[in-house]
Amino acid sequence: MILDLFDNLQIGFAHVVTPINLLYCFIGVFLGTLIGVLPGLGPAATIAILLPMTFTLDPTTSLIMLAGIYYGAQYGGSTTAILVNLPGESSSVVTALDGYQMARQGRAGLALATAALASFFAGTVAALVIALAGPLMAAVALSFGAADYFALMVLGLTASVALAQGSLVKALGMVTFGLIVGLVGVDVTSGSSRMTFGLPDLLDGISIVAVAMGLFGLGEIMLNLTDGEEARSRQKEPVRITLPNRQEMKQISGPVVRGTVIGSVLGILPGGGALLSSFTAYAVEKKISKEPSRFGRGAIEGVAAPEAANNAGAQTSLIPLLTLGLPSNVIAALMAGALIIQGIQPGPQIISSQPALFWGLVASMWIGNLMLVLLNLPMIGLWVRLLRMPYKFLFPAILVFCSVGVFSLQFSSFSIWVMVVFGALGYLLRRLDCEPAPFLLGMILGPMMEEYFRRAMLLSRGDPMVFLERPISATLLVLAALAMISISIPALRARRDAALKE
Amino acid sequence: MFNFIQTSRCSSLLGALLGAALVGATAAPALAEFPERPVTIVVPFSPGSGTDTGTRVLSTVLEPLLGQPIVVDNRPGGSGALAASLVAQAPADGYMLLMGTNSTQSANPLLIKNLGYDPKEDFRPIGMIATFEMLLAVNAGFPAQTAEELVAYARENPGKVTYATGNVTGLVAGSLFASRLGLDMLRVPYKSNAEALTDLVGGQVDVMFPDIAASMPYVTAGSLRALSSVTLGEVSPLAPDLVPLSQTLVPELKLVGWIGLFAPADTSDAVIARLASALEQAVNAGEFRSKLLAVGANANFLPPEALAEHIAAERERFATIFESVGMEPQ
Amino acid sequence: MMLRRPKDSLTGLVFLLIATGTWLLCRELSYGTARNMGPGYFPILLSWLLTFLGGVLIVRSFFGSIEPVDPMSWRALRSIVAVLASCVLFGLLVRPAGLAVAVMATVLTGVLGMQGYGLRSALLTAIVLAVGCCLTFVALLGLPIPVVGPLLGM
Repeated sequence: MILDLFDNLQIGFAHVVTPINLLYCFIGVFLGTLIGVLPGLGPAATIAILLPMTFTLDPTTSLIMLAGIYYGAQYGGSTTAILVNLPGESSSVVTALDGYQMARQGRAGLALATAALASFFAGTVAALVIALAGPLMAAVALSFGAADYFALMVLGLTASVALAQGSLVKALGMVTFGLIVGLVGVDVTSGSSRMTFGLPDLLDGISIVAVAMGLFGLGEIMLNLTDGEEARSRQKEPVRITLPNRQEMKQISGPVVRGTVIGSVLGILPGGGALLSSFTAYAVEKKISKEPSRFGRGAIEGVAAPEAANNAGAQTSLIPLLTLGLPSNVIAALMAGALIIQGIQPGPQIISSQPALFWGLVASMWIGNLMLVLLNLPMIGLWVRLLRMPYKFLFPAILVFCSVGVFSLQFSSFSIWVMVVFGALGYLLRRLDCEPAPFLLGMILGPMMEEYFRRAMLLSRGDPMVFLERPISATLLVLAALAMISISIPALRARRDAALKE
Repeated sequence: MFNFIQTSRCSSLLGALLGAALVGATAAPALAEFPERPVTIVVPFSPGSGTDTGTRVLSTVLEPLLGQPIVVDNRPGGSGALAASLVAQAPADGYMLLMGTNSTQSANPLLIKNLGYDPKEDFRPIGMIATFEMLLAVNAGFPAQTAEELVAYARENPGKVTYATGNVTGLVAGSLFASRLGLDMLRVPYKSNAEALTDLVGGQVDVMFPDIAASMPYVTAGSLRALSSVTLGEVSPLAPDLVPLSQTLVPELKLVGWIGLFAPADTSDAVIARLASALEQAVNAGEFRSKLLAVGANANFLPPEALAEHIAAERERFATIFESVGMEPQ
Repeated sequence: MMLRRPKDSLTGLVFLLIATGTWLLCRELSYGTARNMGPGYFPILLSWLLTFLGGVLIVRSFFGSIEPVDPMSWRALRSIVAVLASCVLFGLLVRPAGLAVAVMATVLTGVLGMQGYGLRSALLTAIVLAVGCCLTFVALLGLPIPVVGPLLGM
């Protein structure tokens, strides 16, 4: 088995290490980083734009480039999240929580380096996981039924509460609000439109990226401008542009490993697994930390774990496509489209019929991750210098990038109205100490939770016991209940103490 | 979710960088009349979808025939309603066309209340281009080996057999199949055919009517079993071993997903005629047929009048079926 | 009894408002049964949950430690309006007037949100960003956004 692996990887590397493939791999990760850094522009849009250009390339080459864009964008998204609190991808929302705080403490360089190293480690491990256990894991993913997915979403929701630092009730309220907003659009089951105000633009739902831009991007600018610019824009400490030292390496090694495991496992689940992984990894770290209060205030673990999970999840989310031909997200669907046009119908026999394609892609993942680190570590100095730019020049640039990015989601001004409305709403709620991160997670989970719940109930003929009878779903629900209890007990105790003091 | 325009010629720096591999539009003898500049085809679904791949294959064959580059512009959203409204309001000069489907032209007005366009009044058909035929497939673990066995099994176990639907064509095929044979099967709706197919392969649902191209690999690999096919009547070239359901159990089940080209209603006869003749030539070219088959579609040209009749009949049938499953315009 | 935590009660009110809105928008959708839930089931359930949470917050605001309020200043309001208006302008201008004009309008409106922004540096920022955006988004990434729109006679 191990020998086979080396043989296969050798085929893969031999296939990838050609000048043309390396060139396209580099173009892929470079473009990916660029669009990740630019808010709003996502990998889906870019891959779609570049899709026709790949038609004339060799299938392996085109897939290598497309995959490079995908994980390059995941990485690039965390750069802006750390520097200016602007999560360009929904998965980097979590990175922004502590990464941006680190940047404000003058540790932007360290945060960026941590993100790069965590991503590289996770990428390496995930590539190995795909090579070793891809087909096996895909089989596990297929055995996940609607009830199991619903239980997973419930677990994800409890994780969302861990994202908040303040009041538990407010965090729950924001999650609920997010769930409601996530339901806007056409209902899959009945085809009826909900809360669309008769606007055709809302039929497909409210864009999460536009909302995130409004809440985080515009929200941060408004807070900075109203709270007195000086305090926020001036760095007190000198900016350090070094790699993590030995002690910091020790500090992040545990979170990175745990994040990688969480990301690799959740990533293979079609329909949102990869998205949940960074949230879950963050919640786990906060839970097992000796000082959970450091989270949200610049804890390096809060950057390392979700970044590792995010990158590992991005890669293992390709497993169902590569082993079964079943795309698990938009990006994988686009890649499947690229293969179909090349005359390769993705399916369960793709590994045996196209070994060079599969192993080449696995090898390219590792090479691409290496390129990402080599490309991004030297850039850290440049990014950090960008932060020293006076805020008066920085904030108009962020405003413009948000606008262009959000406009390019649909090439319609409607997305901009969405951003403005949620920017205003987000500012109001933030003044009331309600945090936007739980809201966003609710918005992501809302439609999926409903869909899986309804499908599970439909398949069980209305018997709610299905959630407890299936072993996977029962385990996940018990975990969620335990997590909820462990979160609420300290909160209740704190309230009682406060009440007794009076 | 996203949207973009892509010409086969790259206008950007990046395009120039990658464009070495890309074939530019071939220079064809310039025509004095239409078209004098690039023609845009608006695709109502995202790239990678059957509609999108079909359009892109068509554009490579149609470009030399029209002597102008073709811009493929994806405008997904609202089951294709956003793209259709856009073209309905475009200048009727033949430079902006819609790649219509059975969703945009037949099903949408029955399902969406404030559609923003009228498929009949706002468009002139230019021609049908291709059809997407379906399989009747079950999970490999399901007891039935043939379509007859499936029917017998479903009769013995009313309400127990589940079928997945991921789009309008699958929904109509499923409900027609169940209602004509008097079967009590449970419909499980999905957002897309890809998700539905995943659960069929995983054994979460029993039966589905998926596109032949997308599902054939699983039949070959043994994780799905194909019991029959659904076509416009004859045996599908993509599944030559299967006798279509319309020849055996359900004679009315002549149904396919299709794509066709449409222009805004006020487009002149001359422009429509020019486009239709180029289209017919393109669709009947052997090159187009083989390229389309590779992406799972069957080249099938219908001239403007025949396409209009096809749509009228299809809408009537859709209306009956939606009513029977309780779907109303929202 | 006195209102000790005005922020909590205000949050509670906002939650109640959202819950009511959701309820109003979804009350005509069919509720369905547990076996076959209608489109209204989930949103109505969520609106009740949000009502409950809002209620808890309002009740709670009468207890606990007193929390200071920081009232909104006119200056802050001006910043917020400038930021939001600048994005609205972008949305209005980008199709008809093109990317270059839209970017400049966004910058020139946005900077009104900061005190003491000189006209010269505002113009400079606007021009630099307009050129930068056209190069990055249109030339390099090839996004189909017009640099100069039809409004300017082109």
